[in-house]
Amino acid sequence: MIGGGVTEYVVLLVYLIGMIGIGVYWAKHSKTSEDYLLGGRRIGSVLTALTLQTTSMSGYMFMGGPAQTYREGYFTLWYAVGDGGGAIFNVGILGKRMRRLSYFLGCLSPIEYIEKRYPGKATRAIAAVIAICFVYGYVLAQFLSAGKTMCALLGVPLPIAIIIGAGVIVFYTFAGGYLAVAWTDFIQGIVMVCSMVMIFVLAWNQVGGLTGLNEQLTALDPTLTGMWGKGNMYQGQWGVVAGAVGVYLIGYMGLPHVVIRHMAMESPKLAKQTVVIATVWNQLFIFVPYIMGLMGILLLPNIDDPEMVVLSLAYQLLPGVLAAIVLVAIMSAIMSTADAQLMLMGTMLGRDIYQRYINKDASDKQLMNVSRICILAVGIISVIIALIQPPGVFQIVVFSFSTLGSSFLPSYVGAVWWKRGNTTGCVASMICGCIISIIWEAAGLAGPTGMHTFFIGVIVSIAAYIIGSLIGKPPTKEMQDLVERAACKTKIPAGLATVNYKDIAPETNGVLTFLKESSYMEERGFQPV
Amino acid sequence: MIFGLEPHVFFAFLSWPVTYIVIAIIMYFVMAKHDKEEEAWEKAYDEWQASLKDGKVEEGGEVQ
Amino acid sequence: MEIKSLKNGYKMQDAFERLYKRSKHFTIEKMDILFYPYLLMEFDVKYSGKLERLSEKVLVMCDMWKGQYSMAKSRGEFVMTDADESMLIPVKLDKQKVIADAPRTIYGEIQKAKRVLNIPDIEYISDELIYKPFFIVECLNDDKEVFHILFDTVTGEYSLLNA
Repeated sequence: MIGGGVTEYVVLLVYLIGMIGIGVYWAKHSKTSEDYLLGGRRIGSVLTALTLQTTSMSGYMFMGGPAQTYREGYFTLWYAVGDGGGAIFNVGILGKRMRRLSYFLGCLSPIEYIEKRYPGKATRAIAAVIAICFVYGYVLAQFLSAGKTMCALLGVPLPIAIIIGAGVIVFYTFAGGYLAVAWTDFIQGIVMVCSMVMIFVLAWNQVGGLTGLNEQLTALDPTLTGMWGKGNMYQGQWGVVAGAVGVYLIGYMGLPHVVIRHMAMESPKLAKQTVVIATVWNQLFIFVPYIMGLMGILLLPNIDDPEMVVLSLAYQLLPGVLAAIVLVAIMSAIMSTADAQLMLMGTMLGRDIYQRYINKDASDKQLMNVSRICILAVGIISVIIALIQPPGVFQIVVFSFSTLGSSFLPSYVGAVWWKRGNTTGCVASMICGCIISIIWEAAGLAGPTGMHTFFIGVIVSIAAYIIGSLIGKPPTKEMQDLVERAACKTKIPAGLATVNYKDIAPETNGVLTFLKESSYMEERGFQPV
Repeated sequence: MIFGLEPHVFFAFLSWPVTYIVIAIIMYFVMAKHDKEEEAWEKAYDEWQASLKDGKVEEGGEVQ
Repeated sequence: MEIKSLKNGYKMQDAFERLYKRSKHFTIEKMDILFYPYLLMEFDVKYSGKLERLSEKVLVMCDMWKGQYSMAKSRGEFVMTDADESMLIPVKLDKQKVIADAPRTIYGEIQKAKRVLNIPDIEYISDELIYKPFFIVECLNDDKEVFHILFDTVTGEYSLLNA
């Protein structure tokens, strides 16, 4: 416990009132449905997208990453190495081909893309279940982070803090609309990022810069600045290194919500700035939290819970009020992330599971109630897990990433690089990738075998994809043609092809069917489509 | 020693941010070059358009 | 026959210019018009109690050929046009069913946009069949291979029909 004074309570109150104020102000000034429906999505530019992206990793950035470097030293930076290059790698491998294929298939979302590329009832069901488990991992991580921040802020014991934190998140989700409009997300993101920079700069001065940090760490324990982790615990385990680098480097390609960014690149001119800004931004906000964990080893050598390292640094380095503001900002960033994820989960459980498999004729009212009950249940289960045996934020996020990455990666990559890839392969790889990841993690096999969960998961998943695709029925001739067309050099001149207006993708598909079925083209002397 | 780290450790972990930024900057210039080619073409096109008196297309008809 | 069509902001000449601005490595050979059918529906979304402030009227469009719903930003400008039947994509869906299914889309969109779990009452107000004009553009690339473009005459967006 580090906070708990009057200052913290006052700051918390003022901050919350401020956020609600902004929310209400913004809501009042947006009168049409257009503002609601599109405003949030198009509120800003590249920077907004980046801020939101950063916010969505809030729990991990402030707790998980730093805690892991605090425990293991430089070794954890393998994760950062992969993460930093993830975007470039992703665009390089999937980029154009995926954009073209998704275009041919006329789909807007990556899950729809998987469904259309690998048609079959099982595809959607399995993809939905895996996605739900993954989102749950995130939700749990947010709950833990919220609890720990509450604990630091209000000075109450952790179990109570977790219950308060979870209660606040669930309330926030139910209240919705009023509190959680896009603007507050944006402002919270900015406050969070500024806080991070402030703490980092102060800590940097205290430890004497990068050289000072490394020299002191080496003096303390040379293995901290070595290649293989504290006490050389991963000595020679390249399987673990490959997994740690790969989980974010290539794992991103299996993440539907990340993949969608690469599916829709509307302005090529904006794209070139985005690449640079996003890359610089990523280096800063991926490496910085990990390095803060290293600084924590020197500045806070006796901390009980390494996940509190950034919060404790804030208290040590910043004046009281500022530290409280930083903590409140972190808390609210975590809350708004958790709120969105929880709602997403409720919707998925309601629509993808309940409506599809349990009650096909469910009315919207029933669906909404199911979603609400699910959200509440998820909240309660998370609190129970957090109280009985709280897993580390880092472990949960890495595990969720590994599972989702190894489940979807072969299907996304194979979709454009191998026309023989079919539904059997896709289903097999999703099932095998997911199951092996869970078994590997549950049985704690990563340590003894020297193989990271993601590394083994993705290998098994790729093998399953290949074997399944060879055994199963090949994709239709039409599908194979589409994949070939996505791969080969296009007939379309580059200048025309770089623009992909996804708003008219459904119409494009519709018109194409019409033109093929009717005599429109023939009557007007056009060449057939 | 580089920044207090063994050279191989430094390169393994901390050379990446710089590498990635360099790659991104190269990508920027490659894309910028492409944009420039397009801009030059757009300019030429505008001039060509200005030199034409009437449009080439009739509503509802074919391109002449 | 006379149809109600969205006013096209882009004439053929504009489409021609817009496409040529993107690249010089192709030629436009032919261009013709095609009307796409939509049902434009208006609904009243009513919240009760504390959320009453969120009540509003919404516009939903449903593509009557494929059945894809979307929320419309505004009504748009319309003109009455004479169109040959062969220029129209036929209406394939049943209007009553389209109207009955629309609230589902509205719930989903509203929930996403407002982050509100409460269920509003959704009342049907009106509907009308409208058409949106598109251009079908036939082009040749430098190797004289044919490809087609679909050009949205209202927004100026275009997409490649076959690549």
